[in-house]
Amino acid sequence: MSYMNRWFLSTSHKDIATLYLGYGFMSAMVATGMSVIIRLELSGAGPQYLHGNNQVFNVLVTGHAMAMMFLFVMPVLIGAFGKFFVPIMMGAVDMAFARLNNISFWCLPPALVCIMASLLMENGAGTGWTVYPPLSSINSHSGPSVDLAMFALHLTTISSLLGAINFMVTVLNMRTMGMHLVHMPLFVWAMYFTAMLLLLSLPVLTAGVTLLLMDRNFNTGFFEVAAGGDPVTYQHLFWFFGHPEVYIIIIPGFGIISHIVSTYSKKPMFGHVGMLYAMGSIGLLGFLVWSHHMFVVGLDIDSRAYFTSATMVIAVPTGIKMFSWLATMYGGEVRLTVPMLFALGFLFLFTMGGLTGVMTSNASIDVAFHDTYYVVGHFHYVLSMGALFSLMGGYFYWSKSMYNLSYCVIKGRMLFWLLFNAVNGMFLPMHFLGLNGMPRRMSDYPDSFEPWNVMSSLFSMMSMFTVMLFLNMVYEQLTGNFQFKTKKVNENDNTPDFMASNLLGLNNSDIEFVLPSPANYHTYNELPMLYAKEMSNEEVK
Amino acid sequence: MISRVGLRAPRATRNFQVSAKSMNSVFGTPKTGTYSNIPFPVKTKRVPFALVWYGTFGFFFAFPFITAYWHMKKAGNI
Repeated sequence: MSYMNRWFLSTSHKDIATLYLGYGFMSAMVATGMSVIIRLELSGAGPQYLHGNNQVFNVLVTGHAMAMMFLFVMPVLIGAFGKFFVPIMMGAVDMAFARLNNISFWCLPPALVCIMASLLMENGAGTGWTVYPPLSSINSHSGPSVDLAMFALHLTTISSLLGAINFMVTVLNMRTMGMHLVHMPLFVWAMYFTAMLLLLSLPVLTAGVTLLLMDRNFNTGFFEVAAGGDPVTYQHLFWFFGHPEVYIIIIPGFGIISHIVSTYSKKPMFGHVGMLYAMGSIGLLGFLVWSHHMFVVGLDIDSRAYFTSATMVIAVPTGIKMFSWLATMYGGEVRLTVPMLFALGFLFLFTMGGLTGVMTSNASIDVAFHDTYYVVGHFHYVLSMGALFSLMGGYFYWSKSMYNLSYCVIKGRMLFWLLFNAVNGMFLPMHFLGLNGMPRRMSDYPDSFEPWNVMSSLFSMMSMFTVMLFLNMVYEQLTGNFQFKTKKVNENDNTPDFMASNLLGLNNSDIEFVLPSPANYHTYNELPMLYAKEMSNEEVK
Repeated sequence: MISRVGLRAPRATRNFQVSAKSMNSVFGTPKTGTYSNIPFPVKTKRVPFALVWYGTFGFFFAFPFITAYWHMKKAGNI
């Protein structure tokens, strides 16, 4: 098979997932570079490195958010891990639409090019990732940068929609014999719910952004006040997508954490069915709370009361998930491996982010918190620590199974502790800054905010070193040259092998560790027969 | 197409797995095993892998810095 056929015209879900993984890491570097410049500029009061060019600061803030979410976290969690393991875990030969799978990926590199080009052209897109009019209208951003950024959003939307359709058809139609819906592994359920969220929310974003493009380029006035339009309509359209997007990012992480916690506690997941109902509830509620992002646009009091209450209700299924993870660990044989460390970090930090989320969900408190660094701190705890920690945990959990390449366990533990401290030191002070009223998306601040900003920036440098350490780890993993090769390391800490994860006999999970590593190009020569423990021999036959 | 459906209909077994394997005769047998499913050469001696690895990620990391410099230069800030 030629290189062209295998990597450019691929129909193999595993190869396409590998492409997603590489692409995601490249995008992550762009987004990390932007965050480093942002924190450098905020490392002191007054102009620091950007020489008072505040548009550049806004452009970097916009690019950082877009690249992190659409080009890094979603491609890696959904594209790489989802597309690699969903067919394998269900005993399917591949995704339902193998060529559609390839198109899904190849929409993404042009999106990265569009984002990078939008950074360079004219003044860049300094609109924030929300692209609110009138700041994003032709009067405020006249160049092609905003159009390019929106085109990048369109491309990622096409990619995600095709992927979502593929996931849904795969999950519903291609489960192997004996694999009933309710017995599906939680990661597969997570991907199914994510696909549903994508399918229902992305078209609304596309509509909003397309109307905005028409306002900018074809003289329509959907969001132009002077033409009788209403910019708040855009905010409703955007956040009807934007809030489910938060769950699109975090629900695959929920699935990964469930597998890691279960494997390294040597227990089946506590409340498997409850967990999937909780995920479904979170997904459903995610569509009913969008206006909590716009409490201060002038909503009437009944709407604010409703959106406050509905948002607080999300804490219930989230609590169910948290307590189920804790109950899984309780009484289990917990092994503090690298993936498990990231899972534990996720549990602690996501809970912290969730608690500050309950605070901001209150419409009256949000009047004070809105557009301050409190919100920035909150969503970084949920995403930068929630999604990123589950992503890192997933990488260390599955990379041996995906590529048969081991990583250095000592460096993995160092990486966890460095990252854990770095993100806490970076984002915890943001809450204090927000409580004191420091506005977000500003490149300058009064002297009184300096100490917490200095601390945040210092820990940002630390996080940059953890990124370098991670790159070094993956490099060593690929080349097999471990720096700490001679140190005594229990290989079982490294490899979540079939024997370590005891789930296979109990339900249909963890089949990926039974397969050869890496799995064959055609994963299964014959469809695997999967069955639950409670099935009798007659039923199995 | 109709004739193919007609041919398939009487079959009782689910043996569609074979089609993927038979396609190998057209496209060649894909490599399997460690390093076969990574799209870039790791163990090559032509270009040191470290250069490729750190160079690629270094470029993407440096891109925002280049952008910021370009904008400031264009605006006359520096």
